[in-house]
Amino acid sequence: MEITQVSDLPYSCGRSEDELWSRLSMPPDQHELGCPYCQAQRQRLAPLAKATTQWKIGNDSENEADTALLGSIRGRVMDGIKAEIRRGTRFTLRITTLGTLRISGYVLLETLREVVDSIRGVALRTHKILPGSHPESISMSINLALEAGEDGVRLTNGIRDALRARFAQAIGISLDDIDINLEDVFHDF
Amino acid sequence: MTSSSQSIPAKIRMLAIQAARQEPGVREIYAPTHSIWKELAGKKVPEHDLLRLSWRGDSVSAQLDIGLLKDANALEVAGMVQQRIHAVLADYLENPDALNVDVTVL
Repeated sequence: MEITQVSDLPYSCGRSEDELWSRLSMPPDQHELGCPYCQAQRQRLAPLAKATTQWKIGNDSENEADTALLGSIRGRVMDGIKAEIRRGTRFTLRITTLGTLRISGYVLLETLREVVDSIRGVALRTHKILPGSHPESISMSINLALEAGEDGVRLTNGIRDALRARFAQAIGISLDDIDINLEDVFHDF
Repeated sequence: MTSSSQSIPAKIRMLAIQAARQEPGVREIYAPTHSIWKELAGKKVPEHDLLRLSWRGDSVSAQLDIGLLKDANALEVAGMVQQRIHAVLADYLENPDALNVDVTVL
């Protein structure tokens, strides 16, 4: 059995394997072009460099797959939570001969906020939807802040009109009482 | 009209769901809570589960939760979806009068 003596590092040219390894992804420099030791080492290390590169790519794609999976799970959890929030409080839209049509309080609140937020001179504060005087109606209670200098009566009448119009157009439910309370005044700086 | 047994085949439920999906203004059909969590637990949830069915005596109750497109009128679309589902299921049941279809806009 023949025993091959492995030469000690650094190589005979004085460059360490670490140095050569760190330069493997780059083209050979002037020294390496003229150095038989470095050329031999480059050749020897090339398969290892290739293998580690492939392993790294493989590992990255696994991570990407994990990230995608995690994202998909997170998305589904959020969808579930959102659906549950929407399922919270329901109001009857209409009772027909075929069954009951209902709407989530979440949709009603969303519609309310859209309307009030579109009106200049007021800022929406606390607000809630309440059952109306009959099954197919709702009432509202809205607290607002009024911009200094604005006409509160004109604005609240405008809000009521806008709410009735929007709820008729988008929802189809009738609005009973719309209680509006101006609780604060703000200055638009 | 074929049966009044205590079940409605999956394909009939699927037809009802498809009919609901085809209604203009419907953006999506929300899965029932138990389906969402079952799916998260890695269990396959059949699509016909979107239409929930329950029986009490002879009466059948069908429930569907829908989401709407921005400019759709909730009452109109929910009413049309209710009619579409009722039409599909009633065609299968012996006693369509015992069928209730509840639609909720989420």
